[in-house]
Amino acid sequence: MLRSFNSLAFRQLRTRPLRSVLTAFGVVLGVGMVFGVLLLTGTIRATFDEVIDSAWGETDLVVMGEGNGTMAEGTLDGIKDVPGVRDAAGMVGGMFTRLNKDDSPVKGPKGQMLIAGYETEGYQPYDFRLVEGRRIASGREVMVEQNWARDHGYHVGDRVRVAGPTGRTELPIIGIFKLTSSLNVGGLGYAAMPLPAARQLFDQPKGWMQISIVADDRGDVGPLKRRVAHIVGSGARVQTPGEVSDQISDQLAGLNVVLYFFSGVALFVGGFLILNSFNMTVLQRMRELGMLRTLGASRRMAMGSVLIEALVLGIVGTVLGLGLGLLLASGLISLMRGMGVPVGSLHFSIGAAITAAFIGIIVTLLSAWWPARRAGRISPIRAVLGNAQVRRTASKRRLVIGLALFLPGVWFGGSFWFGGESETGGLAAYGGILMTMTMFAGMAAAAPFIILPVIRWLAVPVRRLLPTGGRLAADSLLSNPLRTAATAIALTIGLSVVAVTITITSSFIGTINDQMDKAFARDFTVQAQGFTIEQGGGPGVPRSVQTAIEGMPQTGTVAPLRAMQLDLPAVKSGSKLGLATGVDPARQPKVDRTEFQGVSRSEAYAELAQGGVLLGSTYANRAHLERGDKIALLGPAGRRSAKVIGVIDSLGPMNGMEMRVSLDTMRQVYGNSQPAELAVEARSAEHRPALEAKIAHLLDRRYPNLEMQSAADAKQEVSDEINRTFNMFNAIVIIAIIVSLLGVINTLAMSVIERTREIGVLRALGASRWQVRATMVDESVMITIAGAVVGVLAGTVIGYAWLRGVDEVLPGLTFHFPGPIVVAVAIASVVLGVLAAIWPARRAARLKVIEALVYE
Amino acid sequence: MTAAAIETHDLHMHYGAGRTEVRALDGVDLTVEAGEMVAIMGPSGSGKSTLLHIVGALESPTSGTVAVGGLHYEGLDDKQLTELRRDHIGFVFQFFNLLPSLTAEENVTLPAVIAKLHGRAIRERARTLLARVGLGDRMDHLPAELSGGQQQRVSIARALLLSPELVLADEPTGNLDTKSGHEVLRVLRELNEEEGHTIVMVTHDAAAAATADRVIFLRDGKIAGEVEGGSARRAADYLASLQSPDERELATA
Repeated sequence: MLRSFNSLAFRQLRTRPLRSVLTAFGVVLGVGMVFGVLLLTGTIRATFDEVIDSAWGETDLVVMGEGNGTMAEGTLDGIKDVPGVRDAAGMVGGMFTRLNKDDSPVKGPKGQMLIAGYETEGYQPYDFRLVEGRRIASGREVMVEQNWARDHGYHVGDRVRVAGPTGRTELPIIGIFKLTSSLNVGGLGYAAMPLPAARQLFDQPKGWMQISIVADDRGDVGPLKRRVAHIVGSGARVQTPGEVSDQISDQLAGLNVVLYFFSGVALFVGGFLILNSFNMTVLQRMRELGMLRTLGASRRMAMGSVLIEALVLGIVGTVLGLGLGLLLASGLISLMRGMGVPVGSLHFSIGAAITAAFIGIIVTLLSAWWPARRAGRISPIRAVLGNAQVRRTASKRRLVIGLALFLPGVWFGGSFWFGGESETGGLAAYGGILMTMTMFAGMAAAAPFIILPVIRWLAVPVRRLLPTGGRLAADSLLSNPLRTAATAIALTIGLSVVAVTITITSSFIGTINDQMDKAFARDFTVQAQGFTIEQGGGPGVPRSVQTAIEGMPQTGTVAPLRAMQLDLPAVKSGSKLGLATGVDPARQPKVDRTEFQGVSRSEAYAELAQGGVLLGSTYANRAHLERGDKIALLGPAGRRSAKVIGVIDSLGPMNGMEMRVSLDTMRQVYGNSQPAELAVEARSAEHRPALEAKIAHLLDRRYPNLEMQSAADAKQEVSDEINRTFNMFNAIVIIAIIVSLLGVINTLAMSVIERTREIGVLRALGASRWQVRATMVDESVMITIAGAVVGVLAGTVIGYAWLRGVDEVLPGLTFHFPGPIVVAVAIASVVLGVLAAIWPARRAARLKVIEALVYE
Repeated sequence: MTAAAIETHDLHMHYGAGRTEVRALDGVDLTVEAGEMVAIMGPSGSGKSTLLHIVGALESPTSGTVAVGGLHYEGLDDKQLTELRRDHIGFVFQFFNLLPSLTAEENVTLPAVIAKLHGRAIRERARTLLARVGLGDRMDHLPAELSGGQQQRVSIARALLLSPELVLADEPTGNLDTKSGHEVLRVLRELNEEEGHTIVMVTHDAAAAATADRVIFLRDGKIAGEVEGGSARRAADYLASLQSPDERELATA
């Protein structure tokens, strides 16, 4: 027995199980993505917290040289003398490459090993928990991290063969420690070694990389922090372990934003599916709703019954979505690990589940609100008229609203996504997300006006080529513009997201390739394996290598370049993080043809030799600096004032956040001694092959942790790096495509259900099953082509507009349209869209004629 | 209600404007007394269904007045009209309009559920009504399990659940075979005679109209006359006299 009017909603859901499932599907996808992403970001955060806590559990303050530079030897003693410091210990660090049995280096992050050297007596800078063997005592012995040892099959008593700054060596493993429960940084290894042996092995006789401090008063480290900062000066940074963790996760803020964006897209498409589905439902149930009104149901009751249906579907979809989210999170974690982002095992959070569930239900109700409102406005006369004479075309007002929502996102989106970065924390980025979602909503609203003209245009050849089925298909689509547009728009939005992403990626790559041709006038680059300039070159290239290459008869020029990441001085807006590079003013012009704004190359290099500084274009913008201005350089080794020479006229590393000085200036201020790379030019083109062979032989024999790259290889590496960054986008773009395609299938399936009676009439008039099937597939072809064309066009326009909008922030970025890829993606979507129609088409053809005719 | 069951005065209903204006009702004055059973007939487009819809508060007229049981519709807001339909008017539609997910008994009790009335008395009344229309043994059947005639009888029972003063039937036999149609008309007639419900029925079927006390004819949106009920021949002849020669030919083809 029906208990109340509201329980009618439950009955309705049970009567139409397929439609209910298809509708709930939208919620499942959206909630799944949101939950998956929340779990991922939570896991990353938890991983860092765990690492920091494990390593620095007992530490109150950590002191690090600016830009990972070395702190002077006396810093440790100075810190120990500060009142309030109970004890302090220093550490030096070095990166090593593992060697295979044949002494060749193991490539990639899994071949890398970070060794920390510290005093074994007294207070230890790290809180490594020993699980096997013994702690380090003296000599060249190491303790290694547990997970890494297990993954690579090392035990206590084994010896690990490595290559480092001073050549090849074998290190005995005397103990195994636990850092976290599950951290896996793409296979990167961690180890500890006694300080004296470490200093010898790393070729770092003096100075400290990090100093750990434990305070007398552990409850209040604020005043102590200030005192220590005063002692170490501005060349070093004093932080609590928590602040270090925050800093790292801030750097991942950009990643977070992207992840949230894509989960937002999934949610949007999911919500759109719900809106569509309920719109169709309300339209189809007009007679029934009108009848209920004649029986005395109020407008509010009619509206409420739709919302209750939506709520039930929302709850079911949310629960299923949470399950999907768990799966997705696991998948995303594997993806992140493969990309070298450090992330431990899945960290489940009830908060994330509640957030995702809440969002899922809110989105469902919001999406169903419009159809519910329509249901409430159904007049009782509909009990007689059914859904005859219901408006099927879109009002002009809808176009205006659509444009009003769409255009601001196109105009301003670029500066939100690229300009904001992590400057105002997440705020600018969330504004960007909101604006982008609004842009999509505008696209959906204006869809009928964009999609229908394309369909009309397609209908001409279709009618000609397929006189019966094609004509039926074309007429059917054009006679119901709202439904047609609603079906196509899911694909349109997905493809426009793809087109924007691919356009932006290829523009970055294209611009960098253009500029790299200028910058890489050299023949070869020698650098530490697995490191890029942005990473400061890692352990760097020893002086002996430079000397050896300079001594080769085929060598023309060897230009060393030093690099270190640090906060650039005088930045007034945006992130301060940048790269300081040091070059030899006499040799660099021979291997680098990059121009400078406002000054000739010869003048620029001359002034560089006198202590001036060249700025990357982004840095110059953010610091409001130009030629003639002065900046104060502060580092662990000293300070000086430098004159701005000019602006580097290319994108460069760190997206233009670069400060270029001479090698001397670098040494005087930052104390860095190892070049990050050597740029080598042969005496002439004829000498090139011989030089290459000689350098290769040298590195192989004595410096296996170094590699040599040709200019072409170097360009490839840069574009690979960009690709790797954008790969993450691409992976999630694929998810967006899948979501959209599922949206298309969903809507096609529902539109078949909605048109059951129409199909019955066709069959009653003599259309065969085959013809009905063919008509549905023809319709799907036209819809997906129209959706794909509009999506690609819209995405390209948006991508172009965003890049232009970004021009002030990243000058030099030029638009490169990735024609072949985008076309390929569009074609693939159309093919998939057609395949998507097969199941609904078969369903349509299999309907019994008489059942179809009386279907309501 | 002691006033006339239905009273309309100078009722107009126009659709569209200018060249495409359609005058569905063009000044209709109608009175139906309480307890009467009245049939409304007329050629296609005469406005008969429109008249019924307006009396049933499904649509509002362009001008003119409507009163049911002395209660005037003008000035009533949507909420009040909704309550009017719920408490005073029962509908029987041509297409039955049963909810496919509810059993016959649940369909009949739907008006009570909407009015938030519960309890055994309601269930008893529903069962009594279903037995009354000859479906006592089909209470748990879904509409898909009932014939057209049976479905229509369920909808009649539903229309009567809250004992409305007025029952409006729009082509109640239009979708039924002859036998089912006769059953439905018999039920309506019995309800009118034995329980005093005022029934207004729109029909194009002279035999159906004959079951009424009187038959009112509309043509071109105006009342075009009336005859006494009881004779299908009389009703048919009068209808034929109102039709154009082409309409007559089509009707008799």
